[in-house]
Amino acid sequence: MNPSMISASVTMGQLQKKLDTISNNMANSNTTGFKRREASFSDLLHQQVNNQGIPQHEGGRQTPDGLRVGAGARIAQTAVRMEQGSLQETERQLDLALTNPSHFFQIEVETDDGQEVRYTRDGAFYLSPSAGDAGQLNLVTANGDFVLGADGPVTIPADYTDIVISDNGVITVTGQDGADVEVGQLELVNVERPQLLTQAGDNAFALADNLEELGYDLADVLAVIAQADVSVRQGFIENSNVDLGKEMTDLLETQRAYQFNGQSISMADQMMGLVNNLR
Amino acid sequence: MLRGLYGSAAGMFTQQRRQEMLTENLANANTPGFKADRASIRTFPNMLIQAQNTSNLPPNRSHYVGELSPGAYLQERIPNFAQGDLNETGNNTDIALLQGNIPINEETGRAGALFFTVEHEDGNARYTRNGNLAVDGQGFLTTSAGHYILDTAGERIEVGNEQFTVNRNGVVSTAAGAEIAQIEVAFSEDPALLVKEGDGLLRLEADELDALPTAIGNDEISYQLQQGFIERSNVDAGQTMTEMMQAFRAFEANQKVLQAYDQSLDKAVNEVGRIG
Repeated sequence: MNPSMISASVTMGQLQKKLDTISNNMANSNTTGFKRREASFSDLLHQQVNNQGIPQHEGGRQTPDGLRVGAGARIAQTAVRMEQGSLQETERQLDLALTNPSHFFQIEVETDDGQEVRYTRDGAFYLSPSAGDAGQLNLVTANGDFVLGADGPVTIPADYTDIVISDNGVITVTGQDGADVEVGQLELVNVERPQLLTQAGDNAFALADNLEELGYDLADVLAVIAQADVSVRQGFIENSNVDLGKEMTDLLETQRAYQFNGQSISMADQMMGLVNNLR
Repeated sequence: MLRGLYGSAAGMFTQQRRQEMLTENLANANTPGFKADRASIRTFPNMLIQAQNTSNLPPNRSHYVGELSPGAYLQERIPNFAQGDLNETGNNTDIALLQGNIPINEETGRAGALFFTVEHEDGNARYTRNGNLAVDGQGFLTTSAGHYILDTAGERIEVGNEQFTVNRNGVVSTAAGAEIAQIEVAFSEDPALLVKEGDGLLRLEADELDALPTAIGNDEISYQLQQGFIERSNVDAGQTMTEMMQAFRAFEANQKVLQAYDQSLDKAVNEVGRIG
């Protein structure tokens, strides 16, 4: 087969994956706290083809002997981009936005293997009756996963009249009697190496399953931040950091690249047709 | 056999190799730092043709008919090291190398080129222009394929996290402003001697050099490192497509010539040899 068909079709397959990434970003352009991913390309392995056994007959060369023939392009990385999304004011008591791009809320998610801590930037929280204590409510995400504070899941007395969450994440509840009670403290983590997180769906990030195998400690990836460094904004949510204009431009560019490669295949095909027509 | 038969077949091979090269360029039109290849096509060494059955002619030697070329082949794929255009991405891990004034090599008449230096598994340095970098799990600055970027001392650069800054000279600092290292920028007088290896890497194959000299401190060279920008591939898609059409038509023309030769042979076989 004409080798250009192979390199063009390999590249088309990889461009398709870039289109998948772009469309996932676009689909989540309205998802609270979503972080976009960006696919970037690298050229594939080059092999050397020697075209003549006698180098002294090859006069006037500018490059070392032989031809370097590549095999197309591939996606080198799809890096998650952590820049801050825009804040939108909602004036809702349980909407919290993080203002430092490397901070995350910790949530406790029920998985098949038991409970697992995951990390999210989606601060649209809700209250749900506590299973153990009828007088208490749990602070949960939209999926019902517990939001973790300094002492485990955050609970709030059911008979509250007002909730104030300070910029440092201290939750103060006003009771029926009008007295303010401090009921908890949000515990946030600072993610040092966001590329080691995986998107786990439901707006949450998880640690890679094989973190230890890869030789990393939890401490390499993230660390709990001191209360004084916590900064949350009550009454705001963080929009996704997807820029639709950029994604659309990338989409067009990728689609055209796909077409160019398709055109190369079709030309290689017609050339093979010409060979077949020799007889 | 008719000599031109092989000549036109060689022409078809050449144009197919050229089409493969152009496909490769198009496939990498979106690869950061990719340098497009150009084809150098050359004729095979000419043959001297002698007339047959003329040896009895005085002064007892045959007649030279003249030179004949047995066709052409694609001798070289020469990368074009011209600067690709810069695209702003805003990512801290994207660093574009913007060449300023580069001395012209007197031997080749072309300008040299600048590269990032990369540590390869085999211990030797590799060079790249793909500035789409990443921070690995240990906090080192790497290429997107995981090869370490080297500093002026030939050491890996530990940035810790993605919140680092790079100034125009390549000095890397932490978010707090502490200087970590300076990114090495290597200078090649004749970049055509670098061999493409895949993953955006280039290997030095010249015998007399094990590593490229540094561009830092060389007064004749000016450059800038631009953080948050990426150097795009220098493939011109429109021009490449046009050349591919040319390659296709040249292939087709050679096929027609081949068919014409076959028709001549057809006559020789079926008409010249006919009895009665």
